[in-house]
Amino acid sequence: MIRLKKRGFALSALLLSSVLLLSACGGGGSGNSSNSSNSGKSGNTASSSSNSSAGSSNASQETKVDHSKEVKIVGYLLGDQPKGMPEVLDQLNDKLKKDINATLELNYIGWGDVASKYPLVLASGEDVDFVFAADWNFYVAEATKNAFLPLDENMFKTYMPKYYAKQNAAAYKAAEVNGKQYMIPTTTPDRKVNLFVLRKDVMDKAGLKEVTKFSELEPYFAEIKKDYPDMIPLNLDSQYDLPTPFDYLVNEKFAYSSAPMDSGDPMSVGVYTDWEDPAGKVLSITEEPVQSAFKYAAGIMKDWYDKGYVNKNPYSNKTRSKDNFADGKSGVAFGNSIDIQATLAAATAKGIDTYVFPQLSPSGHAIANSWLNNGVAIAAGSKNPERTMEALDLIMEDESYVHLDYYGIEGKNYEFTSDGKLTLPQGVTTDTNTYPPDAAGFWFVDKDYLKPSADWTANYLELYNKTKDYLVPATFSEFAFNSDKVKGQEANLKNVASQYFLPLTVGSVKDVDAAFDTLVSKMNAAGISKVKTELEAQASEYLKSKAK
Amino acid sequence: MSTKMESRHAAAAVKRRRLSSPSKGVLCELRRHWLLYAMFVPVAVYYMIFSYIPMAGIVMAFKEFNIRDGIFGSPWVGFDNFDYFFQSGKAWLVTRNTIVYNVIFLAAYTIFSIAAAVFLSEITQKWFKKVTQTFMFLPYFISWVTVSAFVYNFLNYEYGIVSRILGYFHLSAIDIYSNTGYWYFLLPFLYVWKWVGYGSVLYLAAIVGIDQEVYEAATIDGATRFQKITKITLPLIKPTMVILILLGLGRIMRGEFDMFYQLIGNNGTLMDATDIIDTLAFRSLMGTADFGMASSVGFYQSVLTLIIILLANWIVRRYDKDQALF
Repeated sequence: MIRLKKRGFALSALLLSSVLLLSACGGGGSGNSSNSSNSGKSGNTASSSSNSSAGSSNASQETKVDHSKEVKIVGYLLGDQPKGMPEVLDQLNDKLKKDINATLELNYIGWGDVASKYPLVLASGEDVDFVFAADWNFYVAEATKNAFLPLDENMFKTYMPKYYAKQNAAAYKAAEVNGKQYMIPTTTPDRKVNLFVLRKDVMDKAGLKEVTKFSELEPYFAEIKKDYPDMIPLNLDSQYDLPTPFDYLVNEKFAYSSAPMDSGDPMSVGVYTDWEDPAGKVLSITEEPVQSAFKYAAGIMKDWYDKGYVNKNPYSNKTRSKDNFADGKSGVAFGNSIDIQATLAAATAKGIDTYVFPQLSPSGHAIANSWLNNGVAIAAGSKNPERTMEALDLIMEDESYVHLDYYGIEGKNYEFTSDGKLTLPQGVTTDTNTYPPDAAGFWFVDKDYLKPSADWTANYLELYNKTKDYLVPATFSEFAFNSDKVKGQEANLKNVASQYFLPLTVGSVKDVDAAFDTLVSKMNAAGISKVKTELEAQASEYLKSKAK
Repeated sequence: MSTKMESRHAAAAVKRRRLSSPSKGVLCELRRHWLLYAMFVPVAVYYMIFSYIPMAGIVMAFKEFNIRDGIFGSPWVGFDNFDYFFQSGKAWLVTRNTIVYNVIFLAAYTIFSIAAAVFLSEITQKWFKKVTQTFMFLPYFISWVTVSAFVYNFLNYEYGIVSRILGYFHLSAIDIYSNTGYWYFLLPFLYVWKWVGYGSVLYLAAIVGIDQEVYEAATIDGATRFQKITKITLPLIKPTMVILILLGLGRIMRGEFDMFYQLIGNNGTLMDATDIIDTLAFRSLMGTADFGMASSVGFYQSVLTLIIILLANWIVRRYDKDQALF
């Protein structure tokens, strides 16, 4: 028995070691192959442009791109797939097949998984042709990691003629990272402004006629606390709402863009700027006006938190206030003028009168969205970048395609009224619509083809019409910080923020001044000064190139 | 002394026997027990694909990873990727938290599993035994995401069931999500709740394997139930216990990321008490998605795990050679 055991052990050891050897071979092999492909590729980066220009000269000779071979294009978008997607995709594919002999396969990365799955999809590099891209969604980080295919003007001319005809030259420039363009930015940056929604009935009871700033909401909250036991005045979620009331309060003091300049992450800390300051001075958290504005906002939040106006644990709450609002669980809904439409519709359906108010800087402005706010990028490993671009040209810039991918199927998901407004077909409600507008992740399409909705309230319509007057471009609107040299510091700042900054924004700290001091000392330890130096260098570079 | 001599004799005998039949090498062994080895093949393949081949990826911890050059082609950066972790000022805190929590988990899990297994083995009503076992096993199938939703709905300050019940008795609600104290108890409790069913099956198998004659003899000698448990059952499942603990130590540096992340999330108030290596790294790197830096933490954990396993095994070897893993 012992012998057998020992023998068995020796043999399994042998097996294991051979496995090890094999794995070493495997590793070496893949190393080799990647090396060889690498040696080919160092030339490839340069040749890809020459390649494409060759392709374009080819195409211009034939004036027609070759579509003889059918291809399947795989794309990744963000959010959840709407229920009606399969039918819409069928129709989309019928059209694509006829026009460019291609079919589309769409995958969705859920909101909760974006940060982990998005880089993974790109890193695996298999079976992905295009992905949603935006400056707020790792665009610069992934571009510096070579996750995207570099694009040039010739490719746009050849494969995306409609897009090329429409797009502003500034957009191409804005999308450059280290001198190369990796993104196809939308031709119509969103005209949207952040806003909050209140209930008219509660406002009346609280004696609130008009709101001019967020800090005036105290009586509104007190009224909810008094007469609506099941409603939390500020029922914040862990992703979007958490720092939002704080942002509104800070914005009463200076034009704060809701996120530090370096990471662009609203849940992080870093260095700041007054986005309306034409000189573009970079500010640390202890400089004015940042410090006093943050302390002012944190003080009010603490007061509200202590009075029970804020839910005690927003970190574990996954339902956004705008989704709780119509159910009477949140007194305020936070969103922007585009994504709030569903909330307003749901509230109207339940007979709740609403009041919307935009987030504005002290001078009454909001940041105009940059070109990079919504876009799409071609994955570096795409096998059919040409056909993918052609498909995207149709999806983004052809009116019939835009209506299909953005609104769904006519007569089933939407209809146009005789005066050209968007409405739901007979018998379909917002609850039963399987393909709600804007929900399918096609945020980069040409929004000039979209129509106003028939059920907008007067209050919303007023805001909608005023939006374009609010919007002004920020000093640093197209600036994207390249954090390559300060990655470690950025990681630590993010970590400091979750422990010492978020409690300040929620108001759950014991003492605002002490908590703020702790935050500052932790930020110093995390290396904020190095981030600031690096950012200042890049910022002045940006301002110089902009002045040209 | 004499036992030592004996074992030395036995070892020598084995050696001699092996030397005397050198012609019957690996091939002969393979032919004789081919079925056993055939059964081993899937396991070997599994570990080769999922454990040994990916090991080569550990080089990523020392590289500035970019997608075009791939894992092996990206440039080397030495120990740069490790900087952020040790500069975070929390390296020691999270390492300590990771080890302390996992030691508590492992201890609680072992004790409760054995207790549950012993109780189950003493139950004679078959249907009751099965029902109990099933209910104990069920939490194993519930993911931490779901558990966190349960817990949130039980414990949250405003709408939680606990708060509602307290309110019913006119007691003030307790704010569990901003007090670290509750979590020192809650986390091990939830861990045990989730894993005890699984653990008790392992120990129950060991108990069922004990020769019934031993118990019969003890009964004849007039042993009480309690004596049978402490003098027979527990000593006889000790080998199983040692192996399971040693295997459990292998997970000690990376215990239950899901649990901490889902239950605590980004809750800054609880963080000093509940931050483990995995959650720190995850939180820091979510925004940058830097694979090199993430691997550096994995590397750090692996090295610590290796040290802990070697140490534990060495200790076991010193006391009882037969029960050591290697």
